[in-house]
Amino acid sequence: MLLAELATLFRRLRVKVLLGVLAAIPAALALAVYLSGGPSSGRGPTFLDQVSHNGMFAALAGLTVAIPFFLPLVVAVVSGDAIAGEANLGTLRYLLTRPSGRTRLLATKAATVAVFCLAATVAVALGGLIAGVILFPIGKVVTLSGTTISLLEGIARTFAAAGIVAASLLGLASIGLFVSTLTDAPVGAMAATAGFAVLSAVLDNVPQTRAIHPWLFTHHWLAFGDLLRSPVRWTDIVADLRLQLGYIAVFATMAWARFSTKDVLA
Amino acid sequence: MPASRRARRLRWLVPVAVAAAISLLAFLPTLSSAATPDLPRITAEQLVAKVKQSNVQAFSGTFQLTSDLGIPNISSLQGAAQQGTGLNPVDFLSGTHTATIAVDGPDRQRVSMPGSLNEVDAFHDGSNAWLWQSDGHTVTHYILPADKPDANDASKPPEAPEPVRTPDDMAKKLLDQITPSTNVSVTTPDYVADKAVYELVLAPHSADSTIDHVGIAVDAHNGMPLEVTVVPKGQTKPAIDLGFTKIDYSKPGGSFSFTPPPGSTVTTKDLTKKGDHAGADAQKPEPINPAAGPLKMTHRVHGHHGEAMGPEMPMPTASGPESTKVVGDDWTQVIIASGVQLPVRGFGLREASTPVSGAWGSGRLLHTSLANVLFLSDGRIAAGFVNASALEAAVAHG
Repeated sequence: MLLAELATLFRRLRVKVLLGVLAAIPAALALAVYLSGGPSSGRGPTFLDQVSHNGMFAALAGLTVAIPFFLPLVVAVVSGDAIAGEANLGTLRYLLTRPSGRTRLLATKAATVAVFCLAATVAVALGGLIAGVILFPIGKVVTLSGTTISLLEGIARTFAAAGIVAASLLGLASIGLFVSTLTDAPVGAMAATAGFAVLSAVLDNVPQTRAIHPWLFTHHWLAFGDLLRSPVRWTDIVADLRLQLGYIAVFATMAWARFSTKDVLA
Repeated sequence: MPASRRARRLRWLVPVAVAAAISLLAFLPTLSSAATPDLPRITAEQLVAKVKQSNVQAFSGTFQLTSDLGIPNISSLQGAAQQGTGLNPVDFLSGTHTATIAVDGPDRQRVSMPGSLNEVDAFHDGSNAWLWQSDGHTVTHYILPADKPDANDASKPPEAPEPVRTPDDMAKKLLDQITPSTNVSVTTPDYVADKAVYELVLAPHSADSTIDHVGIAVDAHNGMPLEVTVVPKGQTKPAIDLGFTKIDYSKPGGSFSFTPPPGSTVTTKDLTKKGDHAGADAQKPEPINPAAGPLKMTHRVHGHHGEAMGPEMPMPTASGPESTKVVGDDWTQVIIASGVQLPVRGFGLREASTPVSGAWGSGRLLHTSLANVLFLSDGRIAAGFVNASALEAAVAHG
């Protein structure tokens, strides 16, 4: 059932285009640095000024650029569509005629969205890596702490960072899944989910709401950069993962409470 | 799935229970930390002696600076200062900053300050010190003079770029300031960084002082100061809280020297050569963060109470003070610097300060819950841990 859902998801033109655009973000960044003929040191997003020294940094620069806006948007689209999209197409009824039950369907949808989160961040990392390797020299990687690690370890840490970013998006994805069970209009669910992401990001930037900052699901979204320190700093990454787990626990059970008792008319 | 109405309602209890469980887990540690350690009572004198005798040579840990100076429109100051890269002294005036430190004797230290997707590291190994800033990949390599002028200050090399001072450094200097102007007491024991501590409380007698009290938490076993808090009058929360959140007294491992990575910009400053610090700074090739100028003044004042909390940023050569003088003593000291050209307009100071005038002249007052800084229109700057009227009086007499 999960495999079937995954196949349906990734066969969609919309999803293919989204992943393509995600991969194009770091590639465009790398191309821009290449065409402008060098770094503007100390300006622009972190990691970008390193791209011309080491093409591998295009992947990290891509993650840094994509996480505040584009990645949450894409996750909102896919998670908001998860249930509401089926309801809108009138296919939810048929899915529920299968004997597997609503809870199982919801769990499958949730797993599909989670896999998509990972696919999305890996697309960014891969796009950056490929563009970086083509356009720039690659070599040993300088960490944020000023130490040097091997290229292989750098790439491994980059993909680990993509994994952390994917996990960081799960809180938002579970909110999207819940919203998706509330309505039959997928566009509404997508917009509401994206709205939550924007709201959380805005609150996180207002000093007056400092008390709730540690509770906002966007608060630790840049923690993935801590993987590029030596020694790796785990504090914020662990805090991020715990926070996401909390959001998943609350919103997934809310989605379950809603979906398992919902009147499915369409 | 035909569920009765009642069953539907019950299902919503699951997320509610989950949310309740999470908040319980989140707030439980705060409740359990309320316990106090069982320590024998000691006098303030004994505690001061304990600190003076303290001889912790090696440790590593994490410390945190939380400042809440109540500066209005601090974001305008921050925005202006962000034009520079790397260390931003204005950042230290609000929020929480974490750093890790490792110390192995007076000659080997390293401090690491992780920021959001950036990092500043300082290393000191014998006669070499390095400052690494991940923004722009810049390295400043200091070659230090071999003879240390002040053995007491050896834990901090004179020019080593150590942007946040350690609690023990701050407290030792504070204790040297204890004079009849201060009421010294010891409060109930507590825990800091999981160590049982005594807290020494220093309260100034002067009504003009903005400081209600300064608290120094001292490790009950080895006398090492672990936390310094400065509480202003009329507030219960400290305006400055610098303390360890984690500490380990074993000898730290790892390297204390730094190899500049390929592709980085290295500036070498040889401090063994003739010419004082100002001379060395004047040769600094990079543009200097303009916000460092006015802030240097407040840090100087802090320094008189042994509380310099910010980085010792170099003075912009163009606007150095012609002369400085100190009015008053102890807690009510006011520093007056004259001949300072301040780019007040461009750096958000206007938004953060208010216009004031009196028999002494006119200017703009930057009021914080702790320090007051007066920028006079005649180019003088007065600053101190005193209330605004005492500051104006000092200006009038000075």
